[in-house]
Amino acid sequence: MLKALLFFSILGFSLSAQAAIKVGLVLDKGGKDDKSFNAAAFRGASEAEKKLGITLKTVESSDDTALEPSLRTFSRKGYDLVIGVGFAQLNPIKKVAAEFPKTHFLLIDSDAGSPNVRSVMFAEHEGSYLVGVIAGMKSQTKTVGFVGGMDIPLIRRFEMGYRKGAESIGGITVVSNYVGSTSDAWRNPTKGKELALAQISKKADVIFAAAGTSGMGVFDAAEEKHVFAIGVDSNQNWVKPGTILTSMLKHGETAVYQAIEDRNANKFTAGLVSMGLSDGGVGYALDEFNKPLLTPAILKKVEEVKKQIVAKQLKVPDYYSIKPPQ
Amino acid sequence: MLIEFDKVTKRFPLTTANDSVSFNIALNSIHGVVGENGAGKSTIMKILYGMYSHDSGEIRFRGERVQFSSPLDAIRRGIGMVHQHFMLIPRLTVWENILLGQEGSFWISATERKTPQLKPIFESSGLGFRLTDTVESLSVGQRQQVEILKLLYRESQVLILDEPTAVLTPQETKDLFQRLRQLKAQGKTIVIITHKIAEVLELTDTVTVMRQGRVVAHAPTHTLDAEHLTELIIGQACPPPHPRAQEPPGQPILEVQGISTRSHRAPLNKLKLTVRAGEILGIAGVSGNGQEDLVESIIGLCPLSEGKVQFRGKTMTGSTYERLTGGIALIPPDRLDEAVVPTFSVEFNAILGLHRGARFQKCGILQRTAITKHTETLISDFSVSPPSPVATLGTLSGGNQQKLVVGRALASNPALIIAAYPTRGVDIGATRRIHDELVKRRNSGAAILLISSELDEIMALSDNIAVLFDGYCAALFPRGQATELALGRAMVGAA
Amino acid sequence: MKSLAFSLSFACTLALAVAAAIIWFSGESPLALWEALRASLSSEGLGYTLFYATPFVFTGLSVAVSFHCGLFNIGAEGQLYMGTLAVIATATALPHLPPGLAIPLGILAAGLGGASWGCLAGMLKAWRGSHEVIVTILLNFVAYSIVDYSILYLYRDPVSQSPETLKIPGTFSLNTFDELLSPFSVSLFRSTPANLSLVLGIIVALAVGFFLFRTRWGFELRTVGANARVARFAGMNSALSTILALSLSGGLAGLVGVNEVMGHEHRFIQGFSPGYGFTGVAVALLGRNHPVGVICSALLFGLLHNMSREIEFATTHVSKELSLVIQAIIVLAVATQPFLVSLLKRRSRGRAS
Repeated sequence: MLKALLFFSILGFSLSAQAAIKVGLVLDKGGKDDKSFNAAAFRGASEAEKKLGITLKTVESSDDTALEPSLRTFSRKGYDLVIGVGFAQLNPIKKVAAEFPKTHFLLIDSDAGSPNVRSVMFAEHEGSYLVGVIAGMKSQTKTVGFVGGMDIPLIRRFEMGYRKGAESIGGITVVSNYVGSTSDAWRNPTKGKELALAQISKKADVIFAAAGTSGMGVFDAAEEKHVFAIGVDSNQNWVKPGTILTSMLKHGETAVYQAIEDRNANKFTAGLVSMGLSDGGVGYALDEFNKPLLTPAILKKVEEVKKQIVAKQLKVPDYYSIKPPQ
Repeated sequence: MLIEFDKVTKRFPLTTANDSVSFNIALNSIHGVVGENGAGKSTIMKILYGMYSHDSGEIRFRGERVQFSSPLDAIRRGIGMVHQHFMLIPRLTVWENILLGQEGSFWISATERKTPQLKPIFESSGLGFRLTDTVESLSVGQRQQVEILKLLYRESQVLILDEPTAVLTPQETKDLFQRLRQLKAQGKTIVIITHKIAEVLELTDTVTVMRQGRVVAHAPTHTLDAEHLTELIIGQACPPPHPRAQEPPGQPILEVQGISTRSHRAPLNKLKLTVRAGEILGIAGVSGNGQEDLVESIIGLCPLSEGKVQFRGKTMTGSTYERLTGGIALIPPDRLDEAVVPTFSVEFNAILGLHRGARFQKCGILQRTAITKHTETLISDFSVSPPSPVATLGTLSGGNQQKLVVGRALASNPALIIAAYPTRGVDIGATRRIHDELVKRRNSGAAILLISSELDEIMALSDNIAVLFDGYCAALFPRGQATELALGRAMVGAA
Repeated sequence: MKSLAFSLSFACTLALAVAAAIIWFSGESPLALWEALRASLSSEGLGYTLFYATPFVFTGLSVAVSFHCGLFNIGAEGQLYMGTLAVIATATALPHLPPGLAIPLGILAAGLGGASWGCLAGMLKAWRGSHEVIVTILLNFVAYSIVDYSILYLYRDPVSQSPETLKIPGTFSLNTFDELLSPFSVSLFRSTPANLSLVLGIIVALAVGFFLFRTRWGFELRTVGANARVARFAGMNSALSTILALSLSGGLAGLVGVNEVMGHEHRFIQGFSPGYGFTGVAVALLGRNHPVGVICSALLFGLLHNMSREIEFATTHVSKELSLVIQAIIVLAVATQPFLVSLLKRRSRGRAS
C-alpha cells in the first residue's frame, strides 16, 4: 500500500514536472460575469492559472442539458481536473465521474460522494450568523429583514443562520421573504425591490439579500429608504457604499484555487470538504466602504462570536441538519 | 418597326408558353394580341415588360436588341403595362397612386413638386374625377384610367393593356376605346391583349393571333371578319350553340321568399325569386346590388334577417355542406377568393367541396386513384390546359381555372345550379363550352340561377331575366321580351 | 424537395460564412468552426446532435401544422411543458404498469397534455375570434405557472436543491441508442442521451405528412389555411379545422416531454427547455413546413445547438452565443432567399448582357 502510494506520487511528480496540468471549469447558467458565485470560482481558477502555470479552459453552459456533455468533453480530452460549479451539476458530475474514474473532479455546493470527486460545501449558516449579529446590533427598529432568491434548502440555510444571529442580540424580530421558487427568482430585481420595500414598511431597517441578481433590487430599496442592506457571496460593499452594511462572504475562489493547487502538487483528495469560519471558507466583509458603518462595539461583538464559533463553543443551528440535502 | 419579336421561346416547368414567337408591332398603331386562355399572349407581353425572361430568341426595341430585367427597366425605356388586376392602393388619392414609386426626396412633398408636370396630362384627358379623390371612391373604369394616367406620367410611349375590358361595363368600354384612339392620335403605340373578337375588330389596326404558344396569324385587322378570326383563334370552325328544348318549365326548385340581409356589402331587401326545373333564370344587374348576398343566402353563408329560402318546397336550414351535397351546385362569384386555392394542385382543386363524398375518401383517407381519374375526366371534358392533374393550379390561366370550377360544380348532377359569373375571364371556346353545358343541364331538368354582368350572356341563355337593383327585384322579363335598352334602364333603377 | 435542399444549403452556407467572419474578426482562426463541426459529428457529438434534434422535430412539426392552417402557434413552449407534465402525472398515478402499456400510455399522455393546451387556444380563436398569436403567447405563461406549481407542490423531489420532480418508474423509460447498441458492443452514440424518441419523431413526422396530404381532414385544414373563404364556399367548417390544427400542433409540441422525461432525465426539471418551442418556428420555416423538411432542419438545428457548446472548446473567447447568431442568419437567409436569389440572378444576367 505504502509502496504503491510512493510509486504513484513519484510518477505524479515526474509528470507534473514535465507538463502543466490541464484544468477545465464548467460554470452554470450564471456565467463568469454574475458578480457572484460563478465569478468567484472563475477568479480562483484564473489566479491559479497565473500563479501555478496551469492550463485553464472555461465554458459556460447555456442550459442544463449542456452541463453533462461539457464535463464529458473535458474528461475525454484528458483534462486532469474538471470543476463544476453549482448544485445543478450534481447529477452530471456523478455520472461523468463514474465514466472517467481516473479524472479528478471538483464539485462546489453539493456532495457527489464519488471516489474521484472532491465535493466542497460551505457552512453558509456560520457566515450568515455573523451578519445576523451585525444586523441585529445595527438595527434601530429592532426589526431586520431577509430576502432569499429561490426557495431551496441552501437559501433556507442562509436564513436560519441569519435569523439565529440576529435573535441572539435580543428583542429582534426577523421578517423573511423569498423572491420565488424557480430559477427565475435569481434574476428578478424588481420583485426583490418590492419585497424589500414591503419589509421596510414593516419597520425592517437592515435587510440581508441572498438572492443573486434579485439582490440588486434590495440594495436599491435600501438606498431609497435610507436603511441598510447586506450583500452575499462576493464582497458587494462597493456596489452602494453607505448602504451596504457588509457582505456575507463565501470563498468559492479559495475552494477552486486549493483544488487546483492540490492537483498540481499531486495531493488531490476526494471526498467531502466543508469550509466554514474556521478555515476561512465563509466570513463577513470589512473594507473601506463599510468601515464607517460598523461601530467598534459591533466589530468587537462579531469578532467575539466568530471566535466562539471557531472554538466550537457556539454551535450555529444548521438547516441541513433538519432537512439534509441530497 | 417599333418592336420586333424574333423566335422568342419561353418554357415553364410543364408547358412551353411561347414557342418561337415572331411578330412585329408598328409605331403609332393599336395592335391586338388575341387568343384563347393559355395561348401565350400574356406571357409574350410580360417578357417584353421584363416580368419574365425568355429562354431563347430575341426582342428588338427601336431596332436595338433588349432584355429588360424588371418592369422598372421597361418603364424607363418607355414601355408600360396595365394589368388585369390593378396595382393601385385604394386608400391613397389618385395623385399619390400616380406618383407611387417616384416620390423623390424625403423632404419635399412629391405632390407639391410634381403637380405642374401632372396637371396638363390630367386636364387634357377630361376625366370625371379629381386628382385628390381617393382611389377607393372611384369606379372600376375610373381606376383603369388612373392606371393609364400612371403610364402617361412616366412618359410611356408603348402602353400594353391586359384584358382591359374584362371588368368594364359596356359604357365604360366605349369610353376606354375613345381614350385609346385619342392616345394613338397623340403618337402612342398601344398593345391590347384580349379574347373578345368584337373589340379586336372595332379597335385595332393590326392583329396577331396566338394559339398554343405559337403565332398562327398576323394581319391588318381590316382583312379579317368575325367568323374568320374565331376560326383562327380556336383552330376550327365554330359549332352552332346547343339547341334548347322547348318543354315548359316544371316544379319550382328554388323559391326565394322575401329575404333581407344585413351585410356590410350591398344587402338584400325583401327579394323574391323563383327558379323552376328546366328553367334558366338570369339575374342582370350592376355588380354591388346584392349579388353576393343572394348567392350566400342560398348556400347558408349569410344570415337572413327576414324571409326564407325554399329548395324543392322545403325551407332550407342545414349547413353549407348539407346544402352543397343535397342537390345544389355552386360556381362562386369570385374565383380566386371563393372557388380555388392557387397553391394547390389541379387535383386537389378538382375535389374541393366534393372531397367528403364516398368516392374520394374512405375512412378519411383520400383515394388518389379516384381523384386523379375524376380530375382527368374534368380536364378532358372541359379541355383544361395544361392537361396535368398534378400541375399547380396557379400556373393555369384564369380561364382554365374557371373551366375546372364549372366542371367541378356540374360533376355532382345537381337539381339547382347557381352559376355566378360562370364565364368571367374565359375565352371564346370555353365560354361556348360552358354555355352549352348549362343549356344541356336545363334541357335535362335542372334549375339554373345565372348571375352575370354580361348582358349578351344573360340574354342568350335565360328563360326569364330578373333585374337586381339595390337588393330587390326591379324588373322581370320573359325570354325574348328583354331589350338591352330596357335592361340597362332597370339596372340603374330607372324602370 | 429540390428547392428545399437548395434553400437549406443556401442558408447554411451564408450563415457559416458570416460565422467564420465573426470568428476571424474576433482574432481567432475560423477553422475553429470546422473543429466544432467535427466534434459535433464525432460519435459522441452525433449522439448529442440527435438528442437535441429530437425536440426540434416535434416543435418544428407543431409549428408547421399550424402554419398549414394559416395559424401562427407561438405557444409550443407552453404546450411542450404541459405535455411533459402530463407524462409525469400519468407515470406517478400508474407506477405499476408493464412497459408494454406504460410507454404507449406515456406517449399518449404527452400528446394529450400538449393538445389540451393547443385546443384551448384553438377554441378561443375559432369561437371567440381571439388572435391566436396573442392567445398562444399568453397561454405560455399560464402553462409555466401550472407546471411550476405542479413541480413544486405536487411532484417535487423533496431532497433535491433544484426544482424538479421525483424520478418516474423505470417502466416508462425509452431506451437510449447507446443502451440498444450495447449488446453489439458498438460504441456509436456512447453514453449520450439520444434515444428512441427520435424514432418516434420520424414516425410522427411521416404520419403528419400523411395526415396533411392524404386525408380529408388534412385537406380541409390546408384549405382553411390557404383561404378560409374558399373553404367556407366548399362547405368546410373552418372553426373545426382551426381547433383541430391547434390541438394537433399542441400535441406535437407535447411530445417533447417523451424525449425529455421518458428518454433522458426520467424526471421533470423545471425550465429544462432552452426555448425548443420558439426555435420550432425557425425549424418549420427552414423546413418549408414540410414534414421531411422539418426533420432535415431539426437535425441542422440540433447540430447547431451542439456546436454552440463545442465552439467554446475550440476557441478561447468566442462565446456560445455565436450559434444564436448563426441561427438568426439562417432564418434571415431563408426569409429573404427569394429576394437574394433574384438579386444574384439579375446581377449575373446584367453581367452577361
